[in-house]
Amino acid sequence: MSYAYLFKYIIIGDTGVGKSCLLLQFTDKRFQPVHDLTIGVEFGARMINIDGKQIKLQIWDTAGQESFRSITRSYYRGAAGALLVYDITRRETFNHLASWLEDARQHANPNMTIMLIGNKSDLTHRRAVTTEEGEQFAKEHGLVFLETSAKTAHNVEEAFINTARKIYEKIEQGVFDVSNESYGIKVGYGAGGAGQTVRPGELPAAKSSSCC
Amino acid sequence: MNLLGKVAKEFGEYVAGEDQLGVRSEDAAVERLLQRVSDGILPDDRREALAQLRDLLTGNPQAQVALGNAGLPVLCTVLCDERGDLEMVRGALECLVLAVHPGASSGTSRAGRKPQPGAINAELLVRVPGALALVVGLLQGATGSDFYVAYHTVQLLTALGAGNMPRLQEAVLAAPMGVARLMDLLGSDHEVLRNEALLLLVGLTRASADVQKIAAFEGAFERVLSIAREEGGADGGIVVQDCLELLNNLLRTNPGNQLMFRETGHVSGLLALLQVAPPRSSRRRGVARQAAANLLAALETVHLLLDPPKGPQAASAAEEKQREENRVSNQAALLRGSALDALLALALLSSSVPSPAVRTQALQCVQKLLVAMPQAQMALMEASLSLREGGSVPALQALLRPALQARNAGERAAAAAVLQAFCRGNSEGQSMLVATVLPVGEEGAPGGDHSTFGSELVRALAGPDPAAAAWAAVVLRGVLDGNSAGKERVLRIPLELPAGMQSAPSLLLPLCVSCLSSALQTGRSGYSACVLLRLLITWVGGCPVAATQLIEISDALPLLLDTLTGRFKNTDPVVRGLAAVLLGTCALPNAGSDGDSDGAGDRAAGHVYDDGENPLDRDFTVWLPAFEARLRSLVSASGVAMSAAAAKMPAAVRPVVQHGVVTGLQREIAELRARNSALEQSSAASNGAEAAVAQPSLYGESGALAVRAAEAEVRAGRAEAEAASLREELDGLQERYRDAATELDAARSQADEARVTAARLEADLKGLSSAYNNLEAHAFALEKRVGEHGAAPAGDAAPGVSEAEAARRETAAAEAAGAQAEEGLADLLALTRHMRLT
Repeated sequence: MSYAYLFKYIIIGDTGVGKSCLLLQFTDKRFQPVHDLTIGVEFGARMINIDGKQIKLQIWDTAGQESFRSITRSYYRGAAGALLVYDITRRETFNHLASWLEDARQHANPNMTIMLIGNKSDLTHRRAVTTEEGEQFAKEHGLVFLETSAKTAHNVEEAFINTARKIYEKIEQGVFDVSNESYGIKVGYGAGGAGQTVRPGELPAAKSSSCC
Repeated sequence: MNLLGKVAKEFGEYVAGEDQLGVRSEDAAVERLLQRVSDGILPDDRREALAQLRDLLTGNPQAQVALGNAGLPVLCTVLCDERGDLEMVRGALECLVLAVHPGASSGTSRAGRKPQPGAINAELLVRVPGALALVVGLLQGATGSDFYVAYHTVQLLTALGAGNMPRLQEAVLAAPMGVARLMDLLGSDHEVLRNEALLLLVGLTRASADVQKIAAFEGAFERVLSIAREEGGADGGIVVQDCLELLNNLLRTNPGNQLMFRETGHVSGLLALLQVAPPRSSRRRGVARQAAANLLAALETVHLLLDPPKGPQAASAAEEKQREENRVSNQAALLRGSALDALLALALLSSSVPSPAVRTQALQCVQKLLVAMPQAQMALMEASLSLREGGSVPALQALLRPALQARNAGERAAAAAVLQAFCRGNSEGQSMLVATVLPVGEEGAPGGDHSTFGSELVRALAGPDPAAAAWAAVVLRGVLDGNSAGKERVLRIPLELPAGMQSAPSLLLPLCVSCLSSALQTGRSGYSACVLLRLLITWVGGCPVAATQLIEISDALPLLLDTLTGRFKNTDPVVRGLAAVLLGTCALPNAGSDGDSDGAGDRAAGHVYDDGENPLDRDFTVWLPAFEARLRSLVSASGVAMSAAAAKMPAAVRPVVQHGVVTGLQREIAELRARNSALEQSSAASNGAEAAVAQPSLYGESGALAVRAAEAEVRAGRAEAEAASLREELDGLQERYRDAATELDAARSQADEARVTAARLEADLKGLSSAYNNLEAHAFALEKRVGEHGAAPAGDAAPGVSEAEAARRETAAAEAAGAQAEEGLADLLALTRHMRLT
């Protein structure tokens, strides 16, 4: 299937906040109440449409456990977008946001779009973090904010699609050098120009002479 | 050193082995240089010392040893403290690379005896605290962008990984950008650097799911495939093979990466690598060999997608389900990418690479593509290959040729397995193939334009080549398996148009029987007899018409009974067992053909024909016990009315059949047991072999071996279970047999008694008949005398005998005769009564 752009996302946040469930809801439109602990990183993909352009999302769902932190850090650099997830029923997951952000700022490319997600919004009776607090944190750190429920699918589409829209806007504004794939963006066919995976100044498929 | 001095030194070394003087001088030199490197004040002096140290280490194992424990930390300190001084960093790196260099100078025999100094140094360096992280860190920042630093760092890491890959993987994962930087190097404009990074990544991605995933995240699929393409695809050099090796590492036992591979549409890129340029007459042999290696690596990728090897842990049911879903998705993606055409071209067009290994692998991939995938079976049915000499041939017919004629046994088995996979659960395809069995008269000359799948098959079956005939039987069995309409139809198709109206047409079933007969009588090959018997079992099973026709063939029953009773020399026990099963199937054609039991066996189909020479595949051994149980009930119900076919068996034959079934099965079980233990051994052996060949140059094979070993293990397990259940069955059967034997003894003694009685009766009868003869003779004599008497008064009244006298004598004679006759009659009656009583 051809696409105009390909965006790489990562989903980060404490263990048990519902990262894998968000991904499953987005890619498979189903909810799995009991989910195995993610080991390392899992992969998911889906095609979306923004302003009539096909955009392919490749999403890496990371393990929230501390012991996998060093491995999950490897995924920051190459991602165009990150969903930073906390659990509105567990205050400590909200309190850890600052450390996650620091990690992201340290290892990710500076133009990475981060979406703050307060998940499990269906569990209103157990809410421990108010919507206002979430909004406030997002504002302070320049993030986009949404409350979602992977269970009811509330705002799940929006979370992924709004992030993509934000990245798309940045491309339109020329923030990215889209020819550099390490920003987590790839230009496909149908973005207007020809496939731009070839970097300027480099001949496509040129065979350099072998020196060994 | 002048020439003379040098010669003297070398001679001294030769005489004294490890020359103390020489070693000491190396030690001292290395020590002095290290001193200068670590304590020097002038940077130039330190650089100079590093350069000298490098020269000293080049190709000098003794210097490598001398550097050892003390030197490595010194060099690490330089790397750590002088990061700003690129020249120093380069120098120290070069020294380290030389220190861990495997040292090609020393022979392999010496290497076997004691560890190489390079390997020792690598181990020592890995143990220097923080050294690995330090070296990995060099790839980042200013040092990483320097070509020489990056080049030597990658070289050093590759050497360190050769000794202790898990530690290196750990270190690379701990560095946040470790894998990412290596992936950048894979895109380097410097080909040397790119190739070194490629080799390092091949090592790093082996057996580390984390490294595999990060590499995939960093765009490894795309990069690897594009490098392979740039390097000339399948016709390219060894770099293409390295690329595919990396690709295989990324996909092996990694469903997540397989999903990503599919989702990002790289399947077509992979399939493009299966295409080879048409051969040029000037092609050198070496190039062709590399192309074959490239193709084998690409075919392994297809294999990994179609038959994902299991992970190290035993999978739960849910995991197994996911695995299967993943496999089916891969299968569908490959099929969409027209993998079938690419694979068939590789397997069947002789213009491609002339390598049986490639063709066999391609055939195995085709078979795996067909497993439980009706769309793939349909596509194969419609596929055709255009021949170079013009025209085209249906792919199925083209597949039949290697199945019957390929010189390589593996290739033959693989081609036959493709045809079987095509037929499995595909009655439409089977019927289509059956329809191609045509009377010979309808086609042109053999091999001509009008030859069909069926006619080629029949020709091979009747042909002079026993191996081809055996494989034809295997294929025909697949075509008929589970398709009763096809079985009946083939029964009727004449193979040759009858010469005249009065001569009977020649049919396929009698042909098979005569093939079997000649296979048995010549004792040519147990295998031929086995496959023919299995063909007949499948044919007769579920097809009573075939059972009837088989029994009606005049030679068939005697042939089978002779087989059972061991009339032929050197009959394989398996052959006898199968003959017993065939007889049983004739008696009980509706006990289910062995094709019916394999509903769950579709996955197993992939493993069935790995050892093509095994006539008892898994499905059969699964089916047999059930069939045997049915047969047993039939045997125990002897005397009760049987199926029509069984009733046709002469009554006297029945005990023989029973006996044959029992002994045949007994032997078969023994055989199965033997095979089982052999399988266990081979699986153990291949496990061992797997460990032994885990060398970088042989990783492809070790993968395949691992797969084969796992399969062998599974099969061994199954065979064991089967043997156990068969053993139980056997115990039951033996009991039955003992019962039957006692019954038989009883019957025999009865028969003996009857014979005695009969003899007595015969004697009586003889007495009776002689008595009757006497009587008759007497009556005749009397009649004669009566006649004489009657004539005397008429013709000779003169001799003075009165008529009254004559009449009186006559009456007396008649009375006497009447009494005598009455007596004889009473005797006769008594005897008759006696006879009737007995």
